[in-house]
Amino acid sequence: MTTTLDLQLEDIRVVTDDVWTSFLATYGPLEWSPVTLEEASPTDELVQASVAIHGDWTGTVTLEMAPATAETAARTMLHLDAVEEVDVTDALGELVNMIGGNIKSLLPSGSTLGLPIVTRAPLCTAGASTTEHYRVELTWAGTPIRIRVWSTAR
Amino acid sequence: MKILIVDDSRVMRQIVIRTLRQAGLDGHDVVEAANGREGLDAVAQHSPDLVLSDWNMPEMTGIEFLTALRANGQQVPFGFVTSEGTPEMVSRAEQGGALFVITKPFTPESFREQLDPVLV
Repeated sequence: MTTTLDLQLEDIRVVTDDVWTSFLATYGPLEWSPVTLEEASPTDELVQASVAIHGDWTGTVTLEMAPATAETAARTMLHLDAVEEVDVTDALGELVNMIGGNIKSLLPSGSTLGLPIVTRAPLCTAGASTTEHYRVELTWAGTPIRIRVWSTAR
Repeated sequence: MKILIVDDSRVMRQIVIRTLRQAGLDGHDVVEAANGREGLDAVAQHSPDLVLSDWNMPEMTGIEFLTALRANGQQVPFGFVTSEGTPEMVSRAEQGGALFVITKPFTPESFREQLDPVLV
């Protein structure tokens, strides 16, 4: 049986906001963004953190932001003035792990969560077997971040 | 008192240490491990009074770690700190011998609530 994903955009925003409030509140709250991540940062490459969910519904949750925003997140979470690339990868992986884990909790029981993957170019993109279902564009301290939920055909 | 923190994320291990302090639970020695297998070694080497473990980790998951500890006769108090706090997982954790499950994201208050009875 394949489960149909039944989420609200507000569910995704609330889950993300809980994570940000707990660990990244220093630079202010999350707010809805009137523009897309690409429109807000057209010249920046994106950092994408992704985590897979497997079960009756199979898909991926991604968290994307500009590299400078990712570095700010890592510095904030570690309470350090400077961080290494490995720290940025770690921080974004943990953020998408928490967002993905809490989204998984909104799904029927029996799903499992994969380990996060963080890349400088999008690993999860629309394709023959991957479909974007939900997109939440937010701003954090004036910088854009995006959460997307994708389904994967089996 | 000695607390073993097991999580494949160094960032999260630092956040847990910081949250222990914010919860007024500082003054304890802290040992860190990056997965369940390292956690097993750390328990054998350091004899912690409490283990705080993530669930989903490479090499050996948190529930595999807990199962191995109990199979070895190790009764060290054990709690999960995980992004996956579904009723199903809480039940699995309790059946495996965990005392509590703290869901990420967490607050100093949630730490204090779960750890105060254990760290008395």
